[in-house]
Amino acid sequence: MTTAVDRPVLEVLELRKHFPIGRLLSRQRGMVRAVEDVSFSIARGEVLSLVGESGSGKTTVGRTVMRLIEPTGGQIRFRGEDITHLSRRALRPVRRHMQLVFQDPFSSLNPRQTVETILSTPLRVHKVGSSHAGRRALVEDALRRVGLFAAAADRFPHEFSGGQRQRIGIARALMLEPDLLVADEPVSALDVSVQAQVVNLLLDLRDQLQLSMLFIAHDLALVGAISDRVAVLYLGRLVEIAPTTALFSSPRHPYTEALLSAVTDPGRAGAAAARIILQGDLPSPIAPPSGCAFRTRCRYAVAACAEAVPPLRVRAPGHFAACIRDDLSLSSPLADPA
Amino acid sequence: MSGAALLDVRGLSVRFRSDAGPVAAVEEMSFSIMPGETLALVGESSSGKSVTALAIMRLLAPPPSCVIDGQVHLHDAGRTATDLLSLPEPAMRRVRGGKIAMIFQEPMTSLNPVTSVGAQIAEAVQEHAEASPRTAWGRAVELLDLVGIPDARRRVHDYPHHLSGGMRQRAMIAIALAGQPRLLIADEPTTALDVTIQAQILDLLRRLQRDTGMAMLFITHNLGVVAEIADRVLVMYAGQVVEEAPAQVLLRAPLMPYTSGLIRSVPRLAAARTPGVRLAAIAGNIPDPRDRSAACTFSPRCAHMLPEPCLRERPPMEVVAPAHGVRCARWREIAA
Repeated sequence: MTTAVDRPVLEVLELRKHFPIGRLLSRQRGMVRAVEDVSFSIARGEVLSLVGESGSGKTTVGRTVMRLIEPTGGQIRFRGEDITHLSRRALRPVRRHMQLVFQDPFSSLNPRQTVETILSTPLRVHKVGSSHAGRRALVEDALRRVGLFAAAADRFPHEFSGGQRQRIGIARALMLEPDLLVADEPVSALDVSVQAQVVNLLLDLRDQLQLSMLFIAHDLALVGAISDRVAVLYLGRLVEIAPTTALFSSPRHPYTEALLSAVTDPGRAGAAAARIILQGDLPSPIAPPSGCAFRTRCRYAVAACAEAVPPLRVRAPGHFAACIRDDLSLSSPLADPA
Repeated sequence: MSGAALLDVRGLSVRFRSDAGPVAAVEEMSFSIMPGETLALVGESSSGKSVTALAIMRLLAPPPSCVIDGQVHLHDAGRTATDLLSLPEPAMRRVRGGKIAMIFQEPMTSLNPVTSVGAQIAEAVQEHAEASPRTAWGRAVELLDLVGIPDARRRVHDYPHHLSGGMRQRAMIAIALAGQPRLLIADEPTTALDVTIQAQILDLLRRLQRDTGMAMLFITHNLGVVAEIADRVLVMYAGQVVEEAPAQVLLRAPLMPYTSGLIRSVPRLAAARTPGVRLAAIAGNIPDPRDRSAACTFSPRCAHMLPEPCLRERPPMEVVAPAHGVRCARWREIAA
């Protein structure tokens, strides 16, 4: 369990991030509990997806794990090392092993730099490659690896389409051969026909490089195509985490059930009748409901749900859910004959 | 068929002026919408789907920046048809929000941030009917209630920033309904919303359509949403319609390689990760509208492309079955 081989690349323990809110110069009025008691781990070569609606805290988890946002509490262990409180200076050598791919391929590349400059910056920062020619060779290798031509190095970002730019963003993240890739909605800005290309590229790279990935997304069907395991966030808390197929075919949390039911599918015409439509919106994270935060929209809620925050409990091997209603048998679109 | 149509679009073309010469955004679009019908316009970015809607509504820049050709006939309950493209602007203003209303993708930027939603709905009511401010305000409350905003009497005083994304889209729909339109043009109305909220809005649109009998032109890139809401579908690629069919036919038995590729590239829950399996992507990128060749516009990405006939000329739209049209020179061989 603790040998170097099967130790998880990333371990997150009871991660918390609270943002103070209130008018400038006035007494602090409240706290947004953006992330509360989130724990998970990612093994070498594993893809874990973090799904949830906007405001669920999924991006905050991704950024906190990378120490781009300081956590309020909890622990982040990367390759066995506790990095929660490392200084900026001590963090720098760690950072080269964890890289981020952004959602928007338009704003995340400097329009004034050539692709070569963009891709070689991480090399220069971390003093990889002794000469200009050596770095140029690494840049060209990286471009070929993501399916672009070596000559792309001399061009500027505006000369590329959205899908190609996202490939450049992925190439940049891979320049330092990281162990962990945090991909925050990396394909949601792309057209459907191009989205599939980029997802396939990420899967190929994972297989070739034994990359571990934290894949942040809102589209469950897309998540199904890429992840080994899925974690569902609701108002900053994990409500369910399980292997992808288990989560999809037998969800154990009513929120997961509703999310699965809301997935549209070109082959599922007429499924609208059977759809579970959640009432209302995500409650305010400033004043979340007492007890289970989902109870205000949950069709199975009982009085006991308001009493205490339900803990994540084992429901099947590797399958955890935070719901006190053990008696429910929840539905899944995968169980439908259609 | 066109006799009973509500809207009849014939040979619609839109060209924009650019430094590199005219750019054809939409070429020779022809379609009609029946009363009460939902027609989905499906395509990826720069396919021309939004430009088509804006051309119908005459919301594009005037010439020479933008040149529109063709006809858009609006039929008014069996009476004479009006060509919207030749209508004087004051008359067109009565059509917009009256006979035809439109909702957009981004409900935050489409609402006025400095007036209450009630005032914005009441304004739309008074624009299209003689109504006292008091009546219009009462109608605003009714409309908010109709689109499922809880506690409408109180929320009518809210400003857009008080509302969540889903609630804002409901308020937009309330404004669109104020003029009791015969046709609602919905341009990606659920794209900016979370899936659970998307399900609510699709449900609302279906219910409103059933209750009011209005037709809908639903613009989307999402084929899953098409399966939910559309009666008929037009697939656009590079400014042209490449396939037209009833929704069930198009989704189950598409004939144009682009349509089938697009359907296959949509990730499905049922295909959840099996090791080694990849999504069926369409190779290549969406063509730049500035360089469109004389060949089939999809040929550079098409797995079925043959130099002859695909590169010789652009295939015409061919009717292959009732209400099913395809723009592909090789559809017979591919289907076989």
